[in-house]
Amino acid sequence: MQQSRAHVRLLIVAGVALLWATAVFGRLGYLQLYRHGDYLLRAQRQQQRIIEISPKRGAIYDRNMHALAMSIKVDSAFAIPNEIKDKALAAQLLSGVLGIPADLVESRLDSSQNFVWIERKLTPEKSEAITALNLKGVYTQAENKRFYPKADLASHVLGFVDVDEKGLGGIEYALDNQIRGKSEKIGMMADAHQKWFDGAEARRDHGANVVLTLDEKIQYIAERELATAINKTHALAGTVVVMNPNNGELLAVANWPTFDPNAASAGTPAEFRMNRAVSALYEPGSTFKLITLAAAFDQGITNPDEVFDCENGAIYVAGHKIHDHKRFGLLTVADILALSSDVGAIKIAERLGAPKFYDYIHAFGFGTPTGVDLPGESRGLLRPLANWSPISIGAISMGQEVGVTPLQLISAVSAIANGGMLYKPHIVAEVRRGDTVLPREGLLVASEPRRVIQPESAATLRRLMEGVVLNGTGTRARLDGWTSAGKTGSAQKIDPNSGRYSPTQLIASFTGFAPINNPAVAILVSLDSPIGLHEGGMVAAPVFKRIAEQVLPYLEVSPDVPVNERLVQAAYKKQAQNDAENLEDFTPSDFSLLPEQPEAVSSSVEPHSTSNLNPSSHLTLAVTADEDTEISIPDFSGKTMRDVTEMCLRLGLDPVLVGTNLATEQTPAAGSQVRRGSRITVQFGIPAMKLTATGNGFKSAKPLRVTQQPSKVAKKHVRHRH
Amino acid sequence: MRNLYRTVALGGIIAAFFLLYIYQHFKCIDLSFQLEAARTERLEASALNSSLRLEIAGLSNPKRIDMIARRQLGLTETLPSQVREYQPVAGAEVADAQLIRVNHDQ
Repeated sequence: MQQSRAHVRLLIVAGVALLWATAVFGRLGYLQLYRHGDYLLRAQRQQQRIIEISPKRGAIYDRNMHALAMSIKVDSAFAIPNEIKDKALAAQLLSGVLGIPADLVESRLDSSQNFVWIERKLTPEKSEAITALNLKGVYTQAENKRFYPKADLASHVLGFVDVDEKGLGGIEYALDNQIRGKSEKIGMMADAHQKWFDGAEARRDHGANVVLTLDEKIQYIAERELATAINKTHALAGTVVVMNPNNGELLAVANWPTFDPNAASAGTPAEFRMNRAVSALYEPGSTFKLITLAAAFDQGITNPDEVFDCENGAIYVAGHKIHDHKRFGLLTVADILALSSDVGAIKIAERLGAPKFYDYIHAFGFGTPTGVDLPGESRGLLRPLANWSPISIGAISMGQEVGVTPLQLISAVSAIANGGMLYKPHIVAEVRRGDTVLPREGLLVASEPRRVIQPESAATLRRLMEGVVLNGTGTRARLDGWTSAGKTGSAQKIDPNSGRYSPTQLIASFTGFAPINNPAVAILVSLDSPIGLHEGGMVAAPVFKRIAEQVLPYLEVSPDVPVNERLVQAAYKKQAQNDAENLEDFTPSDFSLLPEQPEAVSSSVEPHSTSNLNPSSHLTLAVTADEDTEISIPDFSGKTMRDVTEMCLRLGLDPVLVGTNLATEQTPAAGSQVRRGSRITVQFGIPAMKLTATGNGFKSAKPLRVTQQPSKVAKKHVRHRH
Repeated sequence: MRNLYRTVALGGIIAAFFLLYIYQHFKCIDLSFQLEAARTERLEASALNSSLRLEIAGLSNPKRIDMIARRQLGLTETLPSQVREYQPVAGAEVADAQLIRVNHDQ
């Protein structure tokens, strides 16, 4: 009986257990078989994240591998709206941290999407603050952000990117496909505490690095000098291009106005973003006479010594009277270029004939894009020969009726400089991914240089261009230490209101190269509508001089003419007495801040000069200085190197400085009588402190100067700047 | 009785495999966490490296150096007349190299 009762109980328990198991397995089966997809989706939404990693753009370097643009990871804040319970509160908190309106944040959190960005590319401080809030449903995700560490340096060349790292200008745009890596999606798992794990390894498919031919120091020199010139002349805009004439490499491309690509957006005014060196079209004016003469020499229709009658400053071409800027009479071809006679250039072009002239203009690359690896290049404006009017040959020979870009012009001048070979200008040296140099494609494909004029013609023209600098309109481009050649240009702009050439609005330009025999750099300076002095020889040539005199020593180009120190000083002094404004053009801006120089007497006229100067005459400067004066050597002990140098320069002594810190010894000794120009050797080191006992212990008898006080020069400079 | 032992042994083996599977599963998750932590650490180091490179690039900005040179140090540009080229005397490099070697040995 008892056994049967126990048996029944066991059956009941077994039945209940079976029912329970059936219910459990039934439910399990239901969930697995019928609700599988639904719950899988829920689980994935809760535990998995598919994150799209924005590609890391490759860096952009200058020719010396100095980084000009690079990307680094920064945090971006995003939200999973479904996970946020109190969106209004979350919006308030986030608004306080991010500094954006709470309404805007709340509208983003109210999105029906599973993923919304709250704010992208945060500063480290904001990122830390958001993490500290520890809001459920609000997370940060690392993204790459583009930085331009040199700020506005070469900004027109580099371009900029949008928030999604897409190139929008310059190299960033032109090589976007190579620089931009491929975006990738990675899956991440999260545990119950939203701790991420099991992320797939991101593929290493970063963008390619780009190495430019630019040199950041030359670029800086060009930009600084251009900005100084703009500041001085109040020009609307300006361009400087520095090129290696022997291979077409662009060493600097500076434009003004400029912009900071770190803060640039599509809203930045187009005129600020415009790379004028490749996009701006202008009538070159007298600089185009180089092409006229190059064609004439190459065709052998004239020579530098042939004399032309410049008709006392006016000539009729197809019934139109064209006036020269001065009333020139008989001029040699050399003088026509040096003094920039329009009538002379027209007569040479007429002798050459329109078809031949057109062929040479076209051969020099005008009217067609140069193919430079920068976006937005203009092809220039050169009407087909069939569309030339009877007056065209006259107008084009002096740089009107033709539109060129600065890059086209400097390429043509480089061809003259290098002996007649026209190189394709380029700015990308190589594109590499890791250690592999990528093959060149598209705009990067190199092209063979082509001969546009014979070497003899180029040599003749170089000699004439030197005359422009020595005796003509470009004397302010004369370098101290190097030979130089060039051509000035002062092209009238078309007045948009009247449709005629404006008498006041000009493009002042100078394009040239140095040294003459083995040119290392070709430089073009163009200033748009300078106010006051507006001729190319007055405002653009000094910029050429300033840039060339800094770039040539930087490139370790040995001087090819002797530098006469006293000649420079005498010229400077005479100039200073005559015209303070001109002084700034003639000399480096900081030259005037140097200490007093030894007296020197000039016995003849200054070499800078002017258009009424006879270009055939040779200027000589005879400088005399009293070499026999006895000088008493001062005591340099305790002085800084700067003080010693200044004192020596003031006295006309030649200091030889050895060591660092403060002057300790000198040879000859203080008080010795020496001749002006004698060499003084000064030893520098840490002087021994003389300690004297006092009631409170020891104190130094003469305090050591351990911090450098701003020198007189520095103080003057700061005051000048303010 | 033998069947009971056999069943228990079989159950034990199955349980052991089951426990091994559980252990491996959790170990795998744990390693995933460690891997993720190491990966994060590496990324942070890489990001720091990039930040430092960026800082170097910013500090070597020619404009910044120029400003410091002119405004803080009071330096000015050299004039062409102040730059002199010296031709090294023949054999000077060899003499310098020998001197360096002697000093180095000392």
